[in-house]
Amino acid sequence: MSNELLTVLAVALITWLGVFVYIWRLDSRVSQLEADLRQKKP
Amino acid sequence: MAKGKILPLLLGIYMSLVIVAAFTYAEAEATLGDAGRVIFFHIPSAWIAVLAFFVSMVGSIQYLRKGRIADDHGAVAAAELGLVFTVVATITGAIFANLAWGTPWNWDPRETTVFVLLLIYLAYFALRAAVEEEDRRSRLAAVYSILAFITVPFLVFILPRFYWSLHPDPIISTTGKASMAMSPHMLQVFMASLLGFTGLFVWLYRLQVRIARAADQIKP
Repeated sequence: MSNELLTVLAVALITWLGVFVYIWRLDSRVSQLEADLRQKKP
Repeated sequence: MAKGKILPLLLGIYMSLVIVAAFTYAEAEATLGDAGRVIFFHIPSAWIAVLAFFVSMVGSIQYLRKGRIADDHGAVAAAELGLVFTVVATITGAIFANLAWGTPWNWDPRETTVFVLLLIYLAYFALRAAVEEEDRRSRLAAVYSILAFITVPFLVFILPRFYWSLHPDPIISTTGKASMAMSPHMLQVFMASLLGFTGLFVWLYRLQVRIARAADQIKP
């Protein structure tokens, strides 16, 4: 594999992992919010 | 780990493997070379955008029929994701165009129709922002979403085929007869990528709907 292709692979992978972590954290915060709302419901 | 987190985690690992496979397991395409590897991300993005706009239309029809706010939430969520995936498809397409033809954008018929599609769905959100009353906003947006989807097959599949285009032959073939021929490895990675992108859409769609539902509960 050429260096260029390796670089593009690294960029693609890092971009995907960054997006994934962002969505994962958002998901976690929404889950926490839902739990808090369930607790507050009479 | 919470039950609902297992599938997203598997998706994260799965897509990472797909990305690695796109650059290692799949061979370079015969006519497009290594630049052709963009199809593993470009085509699934475009397909998911179409799926998302379709889901938005279905949510809109359901809202008009039953008046349930959950359907409107679904329609908005799907339209937003359709826009996001359309932008991803446009960017990956521009990356390929730059590699293949030296310019990221040249108002090619397919590029132009995608641009028009973006404008149509941006207008959906402009419409929603312009109407204050909730029910009226949802109804108008629902009607617009249904009409907007009517343009999607025309803009994405039909109109670009009327004109000569730089865009590679959209017919994906394993026989080598089309200008873009896929080897078995390439087809496997392509299908895996399509599945991964679909999983990503489902995760994001459900997340957006959950956020909208939580916002409704918080509203005074």
